[in-house]
Amino acid sequence: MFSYIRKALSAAVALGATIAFALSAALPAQAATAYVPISGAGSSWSANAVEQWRTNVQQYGMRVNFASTGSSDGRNQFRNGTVDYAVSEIPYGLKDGSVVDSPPANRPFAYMPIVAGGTAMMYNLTSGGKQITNLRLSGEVITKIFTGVITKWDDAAIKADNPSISLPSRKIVPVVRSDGSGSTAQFTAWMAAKYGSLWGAYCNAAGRGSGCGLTSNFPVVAGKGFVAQPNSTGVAGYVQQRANDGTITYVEYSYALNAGFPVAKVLNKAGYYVEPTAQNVAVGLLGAKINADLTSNLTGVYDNADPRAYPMSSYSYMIVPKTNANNFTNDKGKTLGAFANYFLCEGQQQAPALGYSPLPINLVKSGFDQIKKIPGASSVTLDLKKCNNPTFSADGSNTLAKNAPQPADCDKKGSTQCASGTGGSAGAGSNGGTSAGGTTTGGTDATGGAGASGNSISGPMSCNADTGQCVAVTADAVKISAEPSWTVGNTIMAAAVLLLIMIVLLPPVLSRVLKRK
Amino acid sequence: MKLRLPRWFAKSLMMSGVALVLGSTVSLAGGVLPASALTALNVGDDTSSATTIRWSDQHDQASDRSDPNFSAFRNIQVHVNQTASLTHQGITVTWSGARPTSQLKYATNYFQAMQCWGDVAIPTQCQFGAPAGTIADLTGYQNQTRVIDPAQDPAQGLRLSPDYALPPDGTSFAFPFVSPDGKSTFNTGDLFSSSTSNEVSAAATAADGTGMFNFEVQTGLEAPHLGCGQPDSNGHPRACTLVIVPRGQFDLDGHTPADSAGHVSGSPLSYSAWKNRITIPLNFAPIGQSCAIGQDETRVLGSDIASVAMNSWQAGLCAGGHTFGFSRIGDAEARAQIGGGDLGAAHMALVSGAADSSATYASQLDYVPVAQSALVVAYNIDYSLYRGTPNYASKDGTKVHNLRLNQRIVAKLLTQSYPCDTPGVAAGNPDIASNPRCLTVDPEFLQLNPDFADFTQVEPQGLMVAFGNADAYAHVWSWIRANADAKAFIEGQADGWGMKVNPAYQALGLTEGEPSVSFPKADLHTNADVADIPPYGTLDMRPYFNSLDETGLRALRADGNVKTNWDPYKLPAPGAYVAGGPQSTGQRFALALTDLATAYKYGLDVASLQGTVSGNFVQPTTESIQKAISSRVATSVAGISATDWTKSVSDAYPLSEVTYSAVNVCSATTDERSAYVAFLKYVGHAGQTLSYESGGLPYGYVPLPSSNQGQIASVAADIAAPANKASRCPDAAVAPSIPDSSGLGNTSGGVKGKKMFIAKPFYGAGETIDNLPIISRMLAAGGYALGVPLVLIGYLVMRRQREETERKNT
Repeated sequence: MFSYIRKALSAAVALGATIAFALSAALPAQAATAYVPISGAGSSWSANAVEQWRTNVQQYGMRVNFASTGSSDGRNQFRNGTVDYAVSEIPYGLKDGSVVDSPPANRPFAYMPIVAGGTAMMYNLTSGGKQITNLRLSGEVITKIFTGVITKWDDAAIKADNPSISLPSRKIVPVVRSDGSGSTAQFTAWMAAKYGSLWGAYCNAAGRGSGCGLTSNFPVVAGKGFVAQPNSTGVAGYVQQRANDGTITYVEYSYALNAGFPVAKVLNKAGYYVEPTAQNVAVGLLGAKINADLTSNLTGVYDNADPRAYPMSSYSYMIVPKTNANNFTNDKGKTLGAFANYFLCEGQQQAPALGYSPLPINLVKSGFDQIKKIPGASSVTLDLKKCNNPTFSADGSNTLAKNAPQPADCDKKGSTQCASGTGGSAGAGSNGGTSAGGTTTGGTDATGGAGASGNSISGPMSCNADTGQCVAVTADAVKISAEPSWTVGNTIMAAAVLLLIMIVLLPPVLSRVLKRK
Repeated sequence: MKLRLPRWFAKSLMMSGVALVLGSTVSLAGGVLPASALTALNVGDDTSSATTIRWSDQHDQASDRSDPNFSAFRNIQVHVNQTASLTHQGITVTWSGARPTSQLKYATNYFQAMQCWGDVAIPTQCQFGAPAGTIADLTGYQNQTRVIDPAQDPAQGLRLSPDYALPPDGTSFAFPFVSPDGKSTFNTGDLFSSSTSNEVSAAATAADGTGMFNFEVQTGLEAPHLGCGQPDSNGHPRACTLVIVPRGQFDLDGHTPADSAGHVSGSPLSYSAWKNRITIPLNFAPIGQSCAIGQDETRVLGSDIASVAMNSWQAGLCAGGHTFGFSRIGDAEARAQIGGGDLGAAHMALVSGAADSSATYASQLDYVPVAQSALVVAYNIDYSLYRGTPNYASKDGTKVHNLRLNQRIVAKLLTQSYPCDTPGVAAGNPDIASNPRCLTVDPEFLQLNPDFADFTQVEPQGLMVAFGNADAYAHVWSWIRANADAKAFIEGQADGWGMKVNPAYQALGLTEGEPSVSFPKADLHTNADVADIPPYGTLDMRPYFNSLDETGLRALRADGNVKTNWDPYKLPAPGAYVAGGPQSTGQRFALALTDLATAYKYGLDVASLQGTVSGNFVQPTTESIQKAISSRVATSVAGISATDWTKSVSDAYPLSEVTYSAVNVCSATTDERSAYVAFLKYVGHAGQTLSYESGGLPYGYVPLPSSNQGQIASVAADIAAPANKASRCPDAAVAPSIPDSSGLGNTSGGVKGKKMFIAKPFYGAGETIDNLPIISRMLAAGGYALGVPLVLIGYLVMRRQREETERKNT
């Protein structure tokens, strides 16, 4: 009898110690979950966001590869089965010239929204040796520039947009993408929808037929003086060359931030010139119609009547597989699902800093539905309540859009014009936005406005150029519901503490009791 | 009363004591790394586990003598620079005593290599069979496959297992891949592909019998099907092997190659090739624990030069209760965003310099050094020499390990002054037509690097640089401008041999005003090699890359993404320029501007740069970087030092970099400031210990001198309770002090007030899993407190009992 109790007690002591040991060792960080590496390719429009996400999830034990090769290449690679996922601004099915971008025949897939942003008009223009950083353009002028109708910076139509800038009599050099690109598709879709006759005539002249509509490959008409460059880094990199005074391109806002260059404020339906900040894009996208397959109809974005709305706002998709065709596996699906869960929630926090706009709750919800279609991703816990997305609010509205500041009066179409710099030129300060250094500084503008000293704040915020004061935008970002204050972890910990106490106290007490017997 | 404890109880006491002490030690190991024993090493030079293995060590001289390749292999000796504590990294494999590779590259006498799981090498456990397209075309039939062909290798034909039979009919055979979990598959594409496999398809031996390749070691995170470093059934990090299969001059059946070009054919996994393998055991550091996914991240912005360190620290920081997310953006943009009042996404940035004093937020930022590193010119170059020249026999086809660059040569590369870096080469750019065509024929370069004489016309793909702005890039220009010759060159003066700067760059004023924070690509010429096709430009042939990581990786792959090949069939019509793919092994010539940690990660060699002003050529090492940084001068901004570019410091590496944390003490929330304090405490201690494991300081960084710790502590204290708020902050009320600034990981006392729009959604900071690690630490402390006395008491009791027993017996 005694021997039995002795053994049991001995075992209990050892077991208790072992459990305490295991708990204290295992809880600080989760043991490496077996994620397998996954690879993808596509959109350079979204690449600055995807790159950051894949870097940050390394700390969670994930290895996610991404090649920023352009949307068209991404869709091709997904179709050919050489990647596990693709990123693209536009869905399959586009007829480009005589080529149809057909969806993969034997690889069922779903579209998942990943990040929103504004296609920005990044430009390089000086006047009297000073960089212009507060340019404004209406949609028609932009279309006429990119169809070769307006060719000089001092064109009367540009002057009408910019009453306070003395514009140089310099040739405009439109810089377009030479590779198949989602940015081109977004941009041409907007031109085709809004200024169809101008765009149609240009397509005609380029030999694409007047119905070319939206296209991934920008048609270039010989002799018009357009320059074609590969990738987003190519067009942005070309425009930022100091010698390329007079250039303008369409590129995701983040590239302008990275290059320290200004972007043109674009005239919206309400008559205000707005910048593609995170907030203005969020407001603009409230006008988007989401189709059943999660592709979007952006007509309502182009004509969004909110004074804050940026007209060329859009979002890009990840194309994810629904089966294990082409070497996809359940293990890869688990990683892809966990990665998607990360970027739809926590990953959206860094969108504004990088020059993107976080996805609103309806698209995150739909994204969760798409994750469930990925084979092997069922083990990923999707909980909207725990989704740390900065747009969420208790009443379901988009916090970011709700609290977006109204544009300044000087941004209204009329005889005045805000002086503050835009895009990367606002943040570049005295280090200069120009790649070539020199004496030109990025922060100042033609009208001697604030730039480096007064309003040297960038990206997701708004400054009143009249008062020179930056508006503090505050919002109560709230979780969907409160977190329980006592978690499972707390329970385990309490149990562990109790065990420890028992380990110490029990043996002597028991031994006393046993001895007394 | 004498307390008599039974012997079994004494034993149990001791056992539980030992368990507690062990448990506590293990649980703390994640956060407290062992004291730095490695800091004295040169950066990237841990040779303690280097190993040398001779072929004859692993092969029986008597029985293997019958192998037709015996005489070719018997003197092979392989050296590997590191075989223990491995993580995802590059290692260097060199050898001697081998037969030179055939003139027709990779017909005969070359090496193939692969990583296999388990401590014994077995073909089915090896990652092989997914070659890059270009190399597969150069080697023999089925040479890059897992195919078993009994006709090709009768000896393997005698050793067929039913497991090798390919479905559906089972009449052909291949080696399946068997994972540590026992799963076997012929669809190796599910597991690895040419873009993920680290196999070495073919590596050449030079005429003197030596050769070398860099090998990317993969852990279970990169290659879960190998699982190297993950706990095996005994809980130890799984050992793996590097298997090198020398290929001789005979086919698997012992005959002279039947292939018309004389290529040795067949898989290295096949018995007759496999039996001549050299196996090198690889031991791994345990794969660090990963952070629990789903925590809210504290946002940090900043410079790319901090990326590698931040990536490692993230894993260590989350163990302390704070999960961080890093967003890589330019220094100026990062400072402006954290300075932007209550509106920014983050209030901490990692930057290389201070905000301009005229910025409204300049006074709100606290700076302190957190990392020391360097920008480097990393390279991947093979000697490619004309036949019959003096070094041909000894060096052709081998890798270059010595490269010296001065300010003017770097300036030449960054200004597209070599015609081969411009569209259309000389014909397209008459202004520079008389310049040396490429780096390899520049007399100034050859004077510094005489080994490069007689290079064939290989195509260096320029100096690869990343897109965007960075303070560190301005330092490259400062270094160039500080040298009178280089400055004069950019301003239009010819070098001593008549070479002149590309006029497109002369116009940029690169030597005036503030140094440029980026690398221009200013030559606007375009060129079409054929009539009637659109021309290509500078950004097609010398594109920008996304990051320092990409430039490093591109150098490793020798792939500059040069798009000058017109593909008329690429849709839509009329076609497009496409990349030519990586340069062929034996003719690689890639140069990349990256950081030392990235170069180290990819196992790249780095150039010696000429010291500031003029001076000797210096490799970036712990000493040379430290020397450069300690000779920096203080600036008017507290915590920030700057290089005096007029001062020449011998043996100091000129592009040494300090990364500072910058915290906006006025607008950071209480939660954020707690996290920043925890960050600084971590980064000041465990984060400065050089380590291969995540959490530590990655190799390629140089630990901060211990004198910096006081500085870090005082800045942490100021972040916890900012001094002089009234004069520094626009709204002094926004920054209440953190109740307990000393508590690592203390997140209590969060202010539940209004948050900025990008704020973490609020819930009580003490209510999340965040505080588990603190409890865990308390547990660990308790474990020690209880465990140590228990062991002692148990031991004493046992000893007394033994004494008593002995007394009784006598």
